[in-house]
Amino acid sequence: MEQAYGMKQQENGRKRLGKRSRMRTSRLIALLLALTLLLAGCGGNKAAGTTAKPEAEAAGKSGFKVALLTPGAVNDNGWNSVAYNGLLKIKDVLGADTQHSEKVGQSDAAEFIRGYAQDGFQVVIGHGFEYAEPMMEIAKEFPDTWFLVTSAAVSQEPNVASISINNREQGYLMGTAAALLSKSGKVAAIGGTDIPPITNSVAGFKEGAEAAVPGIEVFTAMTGSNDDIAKAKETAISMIEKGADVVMANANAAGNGGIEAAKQKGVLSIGSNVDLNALAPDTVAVSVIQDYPAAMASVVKDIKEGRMKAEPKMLGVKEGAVYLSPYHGFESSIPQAVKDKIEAVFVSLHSGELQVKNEQ
Amino acid sequence: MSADVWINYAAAAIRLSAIVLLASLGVLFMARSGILNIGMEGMMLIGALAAVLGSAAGGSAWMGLAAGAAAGCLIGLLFAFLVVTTGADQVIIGTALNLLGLGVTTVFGRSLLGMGTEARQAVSLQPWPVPLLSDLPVVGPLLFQHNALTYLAFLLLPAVSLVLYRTNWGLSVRAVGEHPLAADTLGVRVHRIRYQCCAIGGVLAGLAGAALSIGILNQFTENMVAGRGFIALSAVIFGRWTPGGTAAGSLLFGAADALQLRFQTLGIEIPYQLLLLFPYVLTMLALSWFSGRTRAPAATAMPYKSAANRA
Repeated sequence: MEQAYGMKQQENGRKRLGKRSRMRTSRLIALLLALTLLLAGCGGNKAAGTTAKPEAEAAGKSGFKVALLTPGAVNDNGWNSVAYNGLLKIKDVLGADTQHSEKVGQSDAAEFIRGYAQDGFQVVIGHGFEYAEPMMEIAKEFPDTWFLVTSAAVSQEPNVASISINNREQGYLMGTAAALLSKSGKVAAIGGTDIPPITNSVAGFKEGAEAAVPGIEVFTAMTGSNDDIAKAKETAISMIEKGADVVMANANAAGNGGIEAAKQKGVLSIGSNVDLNALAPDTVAVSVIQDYPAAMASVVKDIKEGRMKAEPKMLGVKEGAVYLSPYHGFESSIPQAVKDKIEAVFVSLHSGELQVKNEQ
Repeated sequence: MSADVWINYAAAAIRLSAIVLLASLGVLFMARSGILNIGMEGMMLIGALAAVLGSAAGGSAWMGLAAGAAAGCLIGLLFAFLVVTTGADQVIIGTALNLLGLGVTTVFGRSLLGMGTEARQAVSLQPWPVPLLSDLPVVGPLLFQHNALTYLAFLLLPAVSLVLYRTNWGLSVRAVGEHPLAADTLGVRVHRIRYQCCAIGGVLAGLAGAALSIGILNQFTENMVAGRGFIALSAVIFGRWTPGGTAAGSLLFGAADALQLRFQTLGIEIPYQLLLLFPYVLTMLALSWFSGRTRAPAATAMPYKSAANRA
């Protein structure tokens, strides 16, 4: 609304401006926009700035090239950073030449996927179910490239496969730990945007907590944003004020807000996705890691060695893709009985005795 | 529901409003001098990053605030140079500023502060309970247990009102925003006033950014402003370009936001997607309700060439 209003005023303004100054103005604007776009481009996605350069050396070095697309920034301590770590692992362990493009929205995805395939990448990984559709479409044109979608259960002969982590198990473990560490009998789980990996982990959290401590009260909420730390923090504060004394926030960068709330209010937090203890050593008691790096590396290894099948793979505790972080500074303060109970749940998930599955 | 729940809720509403209020007072200063600033989002991001850098380097949150304000001031002056001196289109420069803010803070945030869990953390601004007053029942937890920037935001409100309506300088600002030519012929330095307003707007944007990065959190995360710059702009329009109305707009939005977060935790059986919409729907309804009577400063978004320089 205000924009439309501005436009109208602008029209009036332009009429009053002289011809010379109008020309000067437009030239200046063009220059500025170009400059801004250049800068924004550097920050926004690395593909624009960096794909061209390493191409030549990439081909010469090992010939095995892997590309990754992520929906958000790769330093978000959450969803996107696990994929980036996976790419680094692929680079280290398999000696692949890697490239990545971050903040790739759905509207640009096809462009990036096709671009990497045309540049001769053997594997293109799209980190999120939203990349499944464009990949299945484009895969038909590039039979020599593997297209890998994470957090999805799709496949297409001969060259589209998917891997997903059993986030329900991840949530189940987080809920178990939270419930056993709670003294007030109230725990909280906060999710960011409404996407399966997050909603599954929040749902799993509730199940795990209720199974571990019957009668426990579990508060859950979704903030709808993975950027808005203020919202995540206020949600956590509202739950802590209602009595929750262990908080889990699974909202990528915004999840930091949840941990900050726990720190400020002097309660505990459970980390999600990566080991978050370093963010708040006296607050994050334990994290439940979803090891996309390991999952991605094992699948890409299969591709490199020609053993890959076009099928969906779901990896969880059993496959070593979901596990607990060390307790760090809490090692001595958490009673052994509590640790044993958490371990017991982990073991029964591992053996398959306890079945917790994602809702797709 | 007990009284505590309501007090906690209102305190959350105040915390969430304060950030928008700081930013919207900045937008207001610029708007009253005839400058449409849709680049608030980018300015706040730059302020947020500068505050973390300042706080991490200087080892104190106050250094962070100073750095945030200084960076905001600089970016405000850059904006002024482009739209006042060169007379570039304010909508386009504002948009460019938003893109610039996101790009610059991403690049420098990563290169200077590091990535992921190893990212450098800063000293955050702690809540400062006002002695004596914070112990009062009800009023204490509601109004006197916040951090310095929250107090500042609400103290600025009467100050801004006073400056705009009770000082000569404030009169000049309003005159410049309504009819720069008339102001110019009476000896008001139009460009100087607009520069000053942009600098003030920039400082407030920087502080609003700092309120997020070191007030709410202790580090910088990308795109952490998350749309609050635009909400600040709509708070000004909602408030019909008056300080009181702007504050009402900020409070309304903060209250609605805090309310939807509570709704979710109360376990009311409404899909949370609808609850998330609530603050925005409320803002839209409020805007359409008041839109009949809104009137922007007449010279909004129009570049001005001084009478002496007219060809």
